Amino acid sequence: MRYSAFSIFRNALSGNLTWKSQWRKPEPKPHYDVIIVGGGGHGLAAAYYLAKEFGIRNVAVLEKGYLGSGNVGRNTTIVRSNYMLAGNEPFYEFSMKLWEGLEQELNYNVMLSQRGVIMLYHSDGQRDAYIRRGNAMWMEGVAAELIERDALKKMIPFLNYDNARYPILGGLLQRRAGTARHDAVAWGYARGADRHGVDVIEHCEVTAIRRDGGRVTGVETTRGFIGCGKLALAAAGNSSQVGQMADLKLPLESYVLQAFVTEGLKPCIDHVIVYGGGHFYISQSDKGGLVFGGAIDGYSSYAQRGNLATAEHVMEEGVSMIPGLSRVRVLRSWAGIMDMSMDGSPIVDRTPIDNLYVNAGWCYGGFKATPASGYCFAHLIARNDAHPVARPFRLDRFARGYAIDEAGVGPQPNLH
Amino acid sequence: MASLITCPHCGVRPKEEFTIRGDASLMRPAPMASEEAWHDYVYVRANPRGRSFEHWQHAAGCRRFLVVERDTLTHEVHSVTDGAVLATRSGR
Amino acid sequence: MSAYRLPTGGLVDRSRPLAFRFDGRSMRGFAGDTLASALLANDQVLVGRSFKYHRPRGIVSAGSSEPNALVTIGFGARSDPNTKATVTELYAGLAARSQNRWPALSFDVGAVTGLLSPFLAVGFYYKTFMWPAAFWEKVYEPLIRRASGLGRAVLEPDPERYEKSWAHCDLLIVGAGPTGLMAALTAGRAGLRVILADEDFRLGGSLLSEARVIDSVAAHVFADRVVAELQTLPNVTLFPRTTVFGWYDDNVLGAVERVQKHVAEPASGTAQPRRRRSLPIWV
Ligand SMILES: Cc1cc2nc3c(=O)[nH]c(=O)nc-3n(C[C@H](O)[C@H](O)[C@H](O)COP(=O)(O)OP(=O)(O)OC[C@H]3O[C@@H](n4cnc5c(N)ncnc54)[C@H](O)[C@@H]3O)c2cc1C
Repeated sequence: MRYSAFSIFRNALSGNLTWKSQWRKPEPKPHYDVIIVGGGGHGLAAAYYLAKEFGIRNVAVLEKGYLGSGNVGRNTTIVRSNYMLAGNEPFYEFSMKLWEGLEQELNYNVMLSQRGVIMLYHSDGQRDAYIRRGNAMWMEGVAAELIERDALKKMIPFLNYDNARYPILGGLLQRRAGTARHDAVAWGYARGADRHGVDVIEHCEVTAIRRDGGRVTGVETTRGFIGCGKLALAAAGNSSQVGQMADLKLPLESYVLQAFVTEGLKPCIDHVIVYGGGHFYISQSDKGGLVFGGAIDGYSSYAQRGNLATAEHVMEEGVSMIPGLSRVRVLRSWAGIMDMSMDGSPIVDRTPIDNLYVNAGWCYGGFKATPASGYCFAHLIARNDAHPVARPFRLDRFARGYAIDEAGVGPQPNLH
Repeated sequence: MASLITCPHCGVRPKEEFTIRGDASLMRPAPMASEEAWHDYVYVRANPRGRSFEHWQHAAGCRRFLVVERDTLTHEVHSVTDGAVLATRSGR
Repeated sequence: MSAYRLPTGGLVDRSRPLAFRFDGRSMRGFAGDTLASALLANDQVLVGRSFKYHRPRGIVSAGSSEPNALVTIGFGARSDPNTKATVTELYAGLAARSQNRWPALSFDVGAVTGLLSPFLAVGFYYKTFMWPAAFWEKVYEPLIRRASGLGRAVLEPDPERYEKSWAHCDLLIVGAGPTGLMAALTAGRAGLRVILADEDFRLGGSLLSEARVIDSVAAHVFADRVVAELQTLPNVTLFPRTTVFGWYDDNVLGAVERVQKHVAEPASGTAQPRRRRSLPIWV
């Protein structure tokens, strides 16, 4: 059913009882041309673009839980393309452009809100680093603005400008960046993929990968064996686990990242604000909650829950950036499993196994990548050739000396 | 992670006193080992879901490097051993 | 006083009246009232507006599960938005304001959205606000943002000080109702280090509203007696006004104690000028 003013009016007249479910609940077929493991944003987007752009419709997305139960439904929804390195920026800008047309593309309101992302700087050195980053963005055709202290004070008055340790001297602003409604992204792609014939199969966990010589023949699942021509992994925090089923060892470690939301408040924070004195970021959802997060819990984990020390640390940083936050109550906190890579950048590539493809290593920044990741993964699966903007994300880049290390901390996944 | 780590030298201490230094199951290759061996050592991880071995340094305590045997799913700590003791014991 | 205020009974102290304000109006309650009970005693039945359609809302609960009676307490940098009237201890000079209404609680323009409710089914926003494309951020989103959210955060520098301290015990009891009190008493008498935490300002839980008699005294008197004995045990620590909010690895629990939230201005210059204490408890 297409969503339009008319469909809303007509359904209202019938008491909203006639809406059709947004995607089918199909039984798995014995064989698909392509199976995608993981019904998060990336898996669903890849399926959508495979069917719509590359004409491969006999596709299944296998999700062990319900749609959106992974990181796509747990993130803090920041969407931006303000990267510095040439390996990253074109990809994230491609993603940003896809975001800008996504509502019309999917006929689904994913509530992209280009409210601006501002990254604060607290020292001359940090300012210089941000100027450099801004220039790198301009070289890729992406607008960036340096907002100095006085202008910033007018824009965001409630920051702690005179903090003795981390005075706020200004910020780097990308106006086109912002937030999107994360669940709607998963649902919108699922609905879109379904309409193009993709089987989105929930509660279907892949437990083993069956191989015949150098090729994958299918997957064992909690709903039986399903054969496939090509197998594509998009399992985010569980990528190492799924990879291992095909003896694929990845340059990843899994960590927990927590997020928090306050009670609903009237509009008070209009941008996404990123603290430069530590690791903290905040924005306000359309519902009114202040959504914020910080660094990962620093130990590897698959627990999908964090600990108090990190929660306290995140909030302390928040209060040092916005002192008035100390009077706002936190409503909920939760966590997701991060597939932290050795250089903080993702992997979208073929593998030593002929018909096995992998999409992983998104760390805590893969939500913004969802449209481009899906598009480029579909391109790779369909054509056996990387999309130009995703070409740097090779699995063998560490061996070849082409790590893409934005943070510059080397192969220490918990520091990226 | 566990909130508490029992340091063999200092007793039960809060986790915040420790710094995590990564996978302790990796064996450093010989200096002249192949590039592939070094690549695997530096970049490739088993990333286990379950029992794991990690180096934790008791940075705000005795400063020793410890090997913490821990479950990455339940966060239960099974053992904590001084790194040097473990290395000697396993003939490293 | 109103029809709702009974001449006798309950746990208020009728000899200690307290003056407070709600939406600028002067009202009177008694020591021992919550803000909610005091509002009802003043015939203030309408206390808030619903989140989406701004429908009129009254008090529905007597505890921390209250969904409706959310108010802002205090002014300026000392504002506490979204505070539940049902767990707010009344004090002299308390100033509360209703939320999510304009221009006034009794006449709220936002309530017109109620007329649109047939079109605003669950999840409607994903299906609409897409035409024309440019309108989402310029028109629809600002409207939605303004309509939603309840209280207003001031975001001025907070003048108050807070502290963090650790607590340790053999047994943590969350909730000082009859079960919690008796568990604390039994474990306390046996010599365990006990912490008893309850988010209410008065310990007793359901005993405080229980009409029956225990040990030939009123239930709340029984509760007071247990509390009095617990206070004599050096190995038992009582934490009223303390909310336990999370259970973490290795039996570390997070709690927040509202140390001086029940006074208009926290005492200054004393050893305890803090309003709130975060309290990780190791069990
Ligand atoms: C707290 C938090 C905050 C974040 N904030 C941001 C942010 O602000 N901006 C940003 O860009 N990114 C952010 N991220 C990162 C982003 O959410 C992820 O990088 C991204 O969602 C990962 O891709 P995905 O959506 O496909 O993952 P997921 O939604 O996790 O999808 C993977 C799916 O695979 C499934 N799966 C795993 N194993 C199997 C199996 N064996 N069989 C079948 N299915 C399986 C899982 O159940 C899961 O649903 C954040 C993440 C978290 C946790």
